[in-house]
Amino acid sequence: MSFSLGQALVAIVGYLTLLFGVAHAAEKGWISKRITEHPAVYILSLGVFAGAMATNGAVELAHWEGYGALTYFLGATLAFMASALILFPVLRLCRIYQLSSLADLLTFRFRSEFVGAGITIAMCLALLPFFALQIQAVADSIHIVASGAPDVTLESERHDGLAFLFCLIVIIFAILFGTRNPLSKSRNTGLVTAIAFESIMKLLAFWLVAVFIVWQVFGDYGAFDAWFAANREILVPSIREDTGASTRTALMLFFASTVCMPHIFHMIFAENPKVEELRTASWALPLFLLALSLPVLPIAWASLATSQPLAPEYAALGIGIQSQSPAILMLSFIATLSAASATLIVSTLALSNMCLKHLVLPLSIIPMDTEHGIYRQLIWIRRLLIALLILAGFASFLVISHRETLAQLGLIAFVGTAQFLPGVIASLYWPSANRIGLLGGLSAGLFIWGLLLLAPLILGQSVVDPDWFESTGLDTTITTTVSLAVNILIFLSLSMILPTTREEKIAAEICSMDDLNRPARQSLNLRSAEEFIVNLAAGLGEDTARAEVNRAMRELQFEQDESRPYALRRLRARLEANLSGLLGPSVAHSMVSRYLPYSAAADDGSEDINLIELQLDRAQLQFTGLAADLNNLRHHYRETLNTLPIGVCSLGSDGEILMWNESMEFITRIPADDVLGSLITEVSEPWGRILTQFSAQDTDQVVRQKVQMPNKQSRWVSLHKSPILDNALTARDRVMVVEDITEYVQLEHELMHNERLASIGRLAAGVAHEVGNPVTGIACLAQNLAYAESKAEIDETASDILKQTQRIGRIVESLVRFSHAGDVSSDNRLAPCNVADCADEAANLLLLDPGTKHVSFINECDREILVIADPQKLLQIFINLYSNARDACDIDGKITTSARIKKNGRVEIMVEDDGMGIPEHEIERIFEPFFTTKDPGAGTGLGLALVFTMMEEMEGEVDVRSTCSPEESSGTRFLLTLNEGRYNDA
Amino acid sequence: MQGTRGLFLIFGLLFLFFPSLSNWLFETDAAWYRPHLFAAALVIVSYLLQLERSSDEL
Repeated sequence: MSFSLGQALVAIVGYLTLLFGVAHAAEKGWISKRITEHPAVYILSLGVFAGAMATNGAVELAHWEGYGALTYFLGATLAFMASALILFPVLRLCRIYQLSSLADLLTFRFRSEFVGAGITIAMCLALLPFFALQIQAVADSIHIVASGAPDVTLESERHDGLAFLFCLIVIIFAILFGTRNPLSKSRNTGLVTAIAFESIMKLLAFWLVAVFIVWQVFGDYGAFDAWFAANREILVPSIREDTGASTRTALMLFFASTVCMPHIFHMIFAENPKVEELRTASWALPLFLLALSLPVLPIAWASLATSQPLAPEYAALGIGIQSQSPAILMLSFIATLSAASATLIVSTLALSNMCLKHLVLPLSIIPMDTEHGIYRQLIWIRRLLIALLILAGFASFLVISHRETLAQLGLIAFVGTAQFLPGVIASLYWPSANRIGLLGGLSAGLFIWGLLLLAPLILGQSVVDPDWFESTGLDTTITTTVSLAVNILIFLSLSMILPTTREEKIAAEICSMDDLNRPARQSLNLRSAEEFIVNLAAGLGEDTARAEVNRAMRELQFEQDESRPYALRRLRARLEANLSGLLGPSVAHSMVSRYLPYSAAADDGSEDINLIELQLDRAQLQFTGLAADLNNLRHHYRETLNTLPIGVCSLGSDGEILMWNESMEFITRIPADDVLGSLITEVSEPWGRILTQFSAQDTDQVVRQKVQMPNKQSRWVSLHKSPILDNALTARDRVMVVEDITEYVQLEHELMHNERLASIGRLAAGVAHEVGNPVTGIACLAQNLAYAESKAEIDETASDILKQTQRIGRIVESLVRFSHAGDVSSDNRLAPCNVADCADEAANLLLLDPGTKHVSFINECDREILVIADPQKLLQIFINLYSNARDACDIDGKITTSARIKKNGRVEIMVEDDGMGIPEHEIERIFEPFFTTKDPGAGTGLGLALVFTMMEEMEGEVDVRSTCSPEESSGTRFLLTLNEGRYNDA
Repeated sequence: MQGTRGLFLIFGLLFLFFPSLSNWLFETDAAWYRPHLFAAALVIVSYLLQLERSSDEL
């Protein structure tokens, strides 16, 4: 029973055309997205794990080892069951840093292009038997189907030409559907759908063959069960006597291959952008594998029961031939064809990706064409690599075919790829692991594997003395154990002996499962996305640089004019990740370091608080226990700071804003999102200028700062700042507190105004008296005018009247000037001001007060001394001081005012009285509002408080010295210090 | 991390009871598909483990 060669050819071409059709329909959207994007498609595509090793190799293993064959499926089941330990952490890294292969992962972790190149070369070597396995399974199947020959080991009868045709079709398929997009981030829908389709095909075919075997070969299920019971001792001998060691080793081997094999890695991580899908796959793929493993034992046992003519790995085909069933023959063939083609396609895609990123680009084997854009060039290089790799696989098939059975070829490849498992686990769980340890261990493990397994396969004879081999009982199981043990031992030893570089430590922190990425807050010399493009254009070409920067900006949802240092750091990190997906981590890292370097001077090692907050907020749901408590504490203190009724803003050493609480938002009317991560100098006016100046000042506080808001309103704030000490007690960051005191200042101004009005009220009677006298004089002079006889007399009387009116004018003018000072909201009108004149005017005003005792005002000020002051405020100050001094003096007391210019360019004005003085315990409180020593109703307690405030507003100081002793001469002296003025200052 | 702890526990128990498990799987009067029942149990455990993990853990 067989088909003709032509029929076999039609079957191959027909099936692969169907595969093309499915992929093409999925790519074009002819198949609904509800299907192509369904999680089931992704899970079925992971069935790529079950290549010809599952459909043929596992049957061969079942033939020899019975239940031992199931370890192939159980190993993968355990790997997915333990996805929280390995697969999820790797997926997290792959998603964030755009890693798409094992070489990407290890290069990223160990920060060395040598690691990437070494892993890639080693993987190519390890996969040669694997490629040979797939092609050999197809070639032998074609041979069996076409000839029905029982002896498939006769190379002369094999149809290598058809096997080559199969390779060519696979090359075309991989190129057409696996290299459409140069960016590893997006899923190749056509490829994934086609691989899922192949999984369904092989499962269906395998099951139909098994059902046929049970019901046609054995008769019915009862007969099959009875046959099993009767032959049980023969069917499962090794397991009964096994101590468990070889089973454990096999489980570990297949567990490792699930994690490390490039085609599985590619399908799990590179073609899957969603976490949810891997979560579903963690149980659904084991279910698929369970379904696929069920027919394995019946097929293998049927082979024993029927004595079919073929080798055990082709038992299904043999049963088809023996039972004269073309359907079973074709189904078995389709199962092998679909399993082998899927595995070959995806393995080649994954390996071509590794070769491109870790051999071609880092070693500059083909220089990048930056002038015409690199995307197209990358795609073509990858296509070339795919063709080369499949042809290399075909060559390896020609060289090593039939030296080993399919299962043996698979096991040799699995032992080779298992050598990468220590590196993967160390990447996630061992921060001290270093690249020399990794490469050392890997080289040793691969050397043993090459010596004991690969070399005999290629050379056709053992390179180790066969007697020694025999005497030590070395087989695949022991080779696995020995090679892995040596690998791990050397890896551990070298990593512990040799230091780990700083870059490796940072990468280890990033890779560590329980750790969040904590990059140092470093400054970039670049200030905008446009500068990123200009710099990157030198390495990537302008078009590619612009496309990559724009893509990163879109992904981060940044505006085009983004210039915040924090945002630019994130843009840089995203660019590196995206370029890693395009060019591999080592090329991306070196390119970004070269063209987008951090400013060396600004590397203060402080952590990026904003990024840590962002990451903690994202990750908080997974915190448990102490971590959750700490996170709750963080939240509590964060909210406390955020909702404080005073503005809090913290700055990094470079002036980057790290915190901007709600009150800051309210006071400044600037949202936190707009300024967090910006430099303080870039905050919009007027706050940028005010905070920058204050930040640079030596003084730690500014009691009162006027702010002209954009809406023309004036506000007043007080500013305080303090350094934030780190663990080494070094002040790197600063915190600034901004308090809105506008209401307080307005209240103060109102009080000032009221005090002034009270003064005017007190002066009113005196003013009336002072105005009344000249008016009476004028009336008399006017009466006398009627009797004037000569013009000279009239002129004299008119002159007297004029003098009297001038006197009234002066009084009124003083009063008006004083009352005008009540414009409380007005700004300081600082101008040169004559101290002596001001003191005189204040004394004159006070002399108008009729109800006060008589004191002498002695003005000893130099008439040339000027100060920078608001004249009306200075007048108010003198009035308040004189008024207090007069109240403190006895009748005929003296109030002396003098002034002198100090060496520092300041003017000291001294107002001194010989009154009763101020008791020592009260002297500290006299500037407090509403504090008074006068009798109730005699004073408001605001006079000196206003003096203090007004002096501060005029950049002046006020001090008081007083003696209050019955024995000594008592008195009080107020010292006012102001800046010296000159006439041309105005 | 609770899921991870559960996993460690399950793997530890599997390792410890591997000999007893082997004996049970390959008992003389066992059905031929008993190892598959064990695989099915692993599928159920995997399903339960993934239910425990929060949807935002990455």
